[in-house]
Amino acid sequence: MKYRTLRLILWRLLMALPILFGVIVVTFVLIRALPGDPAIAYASGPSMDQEDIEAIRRAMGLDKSVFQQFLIYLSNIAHLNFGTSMITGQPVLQDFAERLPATIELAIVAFAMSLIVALPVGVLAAVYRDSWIDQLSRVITSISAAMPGFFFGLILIFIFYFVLSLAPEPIGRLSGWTIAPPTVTGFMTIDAALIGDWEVVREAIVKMLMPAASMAIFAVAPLMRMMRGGMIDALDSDYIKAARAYGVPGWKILLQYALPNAMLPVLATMGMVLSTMLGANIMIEKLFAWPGIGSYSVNALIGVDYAPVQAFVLIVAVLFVLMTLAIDILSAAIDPRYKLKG
Amino acid sequence: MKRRDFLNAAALSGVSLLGLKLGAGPAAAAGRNDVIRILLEDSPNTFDPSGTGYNPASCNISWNVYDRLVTYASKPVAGEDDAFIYDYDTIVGQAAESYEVSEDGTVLTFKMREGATFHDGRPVTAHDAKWSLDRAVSVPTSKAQLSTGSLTSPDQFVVLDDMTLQITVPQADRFTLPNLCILFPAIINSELAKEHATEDDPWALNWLKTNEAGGGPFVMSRYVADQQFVLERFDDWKNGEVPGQARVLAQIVPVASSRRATAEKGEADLVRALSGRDIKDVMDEGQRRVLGISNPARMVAIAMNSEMPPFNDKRVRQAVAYSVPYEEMFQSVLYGRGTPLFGGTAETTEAIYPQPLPYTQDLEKAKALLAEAGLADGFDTTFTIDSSYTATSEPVAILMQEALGKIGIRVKIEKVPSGQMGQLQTDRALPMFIAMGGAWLADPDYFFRIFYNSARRWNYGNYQNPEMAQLVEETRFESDPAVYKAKVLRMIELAKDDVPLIALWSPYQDTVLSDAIHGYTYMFHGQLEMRPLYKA
Repeated sequence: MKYRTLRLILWRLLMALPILFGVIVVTFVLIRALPGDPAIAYASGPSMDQEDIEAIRRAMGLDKSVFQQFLIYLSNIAHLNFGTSMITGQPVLQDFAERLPATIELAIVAFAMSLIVALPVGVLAAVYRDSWIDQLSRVITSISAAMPGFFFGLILIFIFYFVLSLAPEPIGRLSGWTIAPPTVTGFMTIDAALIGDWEVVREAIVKMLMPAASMAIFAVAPLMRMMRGGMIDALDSDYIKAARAYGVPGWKILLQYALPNAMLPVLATMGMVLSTMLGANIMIEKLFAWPGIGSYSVNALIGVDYAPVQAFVLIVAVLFVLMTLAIDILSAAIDPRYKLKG
Repeated sequence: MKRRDFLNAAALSGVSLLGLKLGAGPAAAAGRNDVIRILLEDSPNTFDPSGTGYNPASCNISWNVYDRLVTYASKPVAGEDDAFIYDYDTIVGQAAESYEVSEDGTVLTFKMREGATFHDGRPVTAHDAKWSLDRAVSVPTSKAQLSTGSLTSPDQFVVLDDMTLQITVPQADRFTLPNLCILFPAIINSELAKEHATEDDPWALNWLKTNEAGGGPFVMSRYVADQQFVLERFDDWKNGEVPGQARVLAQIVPVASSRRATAEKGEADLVRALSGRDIKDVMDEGQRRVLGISNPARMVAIAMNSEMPPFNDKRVRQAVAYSVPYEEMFQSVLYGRGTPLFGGTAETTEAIYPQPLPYTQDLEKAKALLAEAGLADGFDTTFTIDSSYTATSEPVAILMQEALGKIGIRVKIEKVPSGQMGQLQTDRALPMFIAMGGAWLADPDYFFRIFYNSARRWNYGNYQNPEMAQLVEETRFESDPAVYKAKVLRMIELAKDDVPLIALWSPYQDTVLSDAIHGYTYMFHGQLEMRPLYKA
C-alpha cells in the first residue's frame, strides 16, 4: 500500500513535467506577443537614438530569433538560471528567494485565520440549522463574499492604524527600525525565533495581522458555505441516523463520523483558496508594502521585464501542481473511498 | 518573561488589541534625530549611475553615493523659508577642488581635491576621474547624453598629473560643464571597479549594478530590493558641507494611501509621490509641511501628431488648443499644484522655455478654425493615456473628450501600459496623447532640440519643421547672447503658433516634510538630494 502510494506520487510528479513544459512555452510566447518593446522602454534617455536602442536590444539578447531565445531560455532553466530582472537589477531566482517566503508566510497566516473563523461557524451552523448561529454564518458569508480584500484592508488601516493607533503602520514585514534576523528560511517569524529574538517574532506576527485579515476575508465565504453544506449532507445521511439510533454520543457522531465525510469538499476548496492566496494577492501586497511575489511580478509585467514574469508563472505552476497533489493525498488519507489516481 | 509569553500568546490569537498596540510603538520617526526616514513610491533598480535601464528612483542612491567633478550650487526658493533649488547658472567644484576654463573655452582643467578618499579609503585621483569619464562616454545609457556636451571620446580626457585632469572639446560648448553635473559622469573608484571588470565587461557594469564604488557623502549600508535601503553618512567626506550626521532610512511604499497615512501621522520625515487629492487633503489638514517646487524645465502637455491627418493642419491643432478647459483641468485634476503653462501673452519677450502658451478656452474660435480647415463636422480620433499615470491622465482625458465633443471632435480614450506607450510613441502611431517632458539642462534651445525636433520618441508632437530644425542647429554653439536670444524667441513663436504640444502645466514636485527636517533642496533630476538634509 505504502509502496503503491509512493509510486503514484512519483508518477504524478512525472506527469506534471509536460504540464510545466506547456506553461513555459505558453508564457514565453505570450509575453513576447504582448505589445511593448523592452529595448525602447529601457532606452530612457532623451538623447538616445535608434543606434542606442539597438545596442540595448543586443545587450538584452532580443536581437536573436525567438526560437534561439527560447533554446537559450530552456538551457538556462535547466541550470536553474532564470535570468536577471531589469527592474530590481538582481537575479530573478534571488528575487524570488527573498519574496516567496514573505508571500507564503502571509498566506499561511491568512489561511489559518480563514479556517479559524470559517470551519467552526460552518459546523455549528449545520448542527444548529436556522438558529441564530446559522443566521450569523449567513451574514458573515454575505459580507465576506461582497467585500473586496483591498477595500477591507483600507478600512482596517483607517480604523486600527489611523484612528485608534492600535496597529503598527501598514508598511512591510517589520518596522524600519527593527534589525531583521539573518535570513535562514526567509520566514520572518521562524528566522527570528531561531536566534531567540522574541521581540521580533512578536513584531512580525503583529505586522501580519492586518494584511492577513484582508487576505482571509475572501476565503471565509466559500469555506464556510462548503463546511456547512458538507456537514448538513453528512448529518442527514443514513449512517449518522443509524449511529444516533445506536446511542453513540453526539460529539462522537459529529467529530468521528460526520466531520471526516464532510471535509472532502472543504479540502478541495481549501486547496483552491490557498492557491489563490499564494498567487493573486497583488493589491493587498501593494497596500501593505508587503514584499511578496505578487506585487513583484505585476511590476515586472508593467515594465515589460520578461524574466521575472516567466519565472513567476512557472513557480506558481509548480506550487499549484504540488498543492493539488497534497490535497489529493490528504483526501485519500481522510476518505478511503477517494482513490489517489495516477 | 512571563509577561512576554502572555503577549506572544495574545498576539498569536490574532485578535488581541493589546498585542497590536505594542506593535505601534517604535515607529515614531520625528523623535529620532539620528535617522531621516523617507518614504518613496518606487524601488531603485541599480546602484550604477549609468546602468542600463536605470529608473528615476535609482538616482536616490547613485546621486548621493557618488560625487561628480562639479555640481550645481543651490539658491533659496523664492517665497519659501528653508527650501532650496539648484542654480543652473552657478557650477561649483565637488570632487574637483577647482576648475579653470581656457579663454577660447575648449580646454577645461580640473584640480582634484587633496585628501579626498573613496569609501574604501583609496584617494580620489585624476586617474579615477578619467576612468569614470571614459566609462560614461562608452556605455550606451550615458553616451548619447554626454555627446550633447561635446563629450564623446576617451581621448578628450587627459591626466596631466595625479591630481589634475584636462578635458578638451573641439569647440566651446555651453553644455560641457552642465553635462558634467548630471547623474552620469559620477566619479567611480576605478581601482575597485577594475578589480571586478572582465573581458566581456570592461566597465564592470554587472558588478556596479549591485555594488557601489563611490566617494560621495553617503555609504550604502543596507539594500533590500522593493523594501528599503539605508544610507550612512561617509565620515571622511570632504567634497562639501556636512550639515548633520543623521543616516537615511528610505522605505518603498507603493500605495499612496499608505504613504499618506504615515505622513499625516508624522511618522516619516519626508514623503514623496503624493499627488492631487492626497496632497490637497494633507494641506487642508494643516499638520504637515507640504513643499511644492516646480522644475523650470518640466512640462506636461497634450501632444498631437503633426504629421498625421487631420493634425498635420496647424489650424486643427490650434482648434484643439482653444478647446482645452485649462483652468478647470488645472484645478480639478492638479488641485492647482503646479505652474500653469496656459493663458500666456501672444507676444514673446522672454527667452525661456517652457513658458505659458497664449491659449485659453474659446470654443467659438475653435469651431471657426476647424471650419477653416474644412472639418466643420469634426472627426474621430483617439486619445491615449499611460496606464501607470491614470490618477492625473484619466481625468485630463475625460475633460478633453467632453470639451472636444463640443466642437464636434469625437474622442475615444485608450489606456495602454507604459512599456507599450514607449513603443507607440517611437512608431509615431498615436494621434493624440499626454506627454510629459523634463530636461536636465535648462537652456531653452536644449528643450527645443529634444522635444520639438528630431525623429526620436521625445519629439512627442512629431514636429517636423525645417525652420525649427535649422534654429536648433544654429543655436547649438551660439555664444553671442543677442543672436541666441533672437533665435530662441523665434523658436518660442513657432511653438506657440504651430502647437505640436499644448502645454498644460509644470507640476509641482510635492514633498511632505516633518517639522524636524531642514535643508531640503530640489535637484534637476527631481529625485532626492540628501547632502544638505539634516534634522534638528
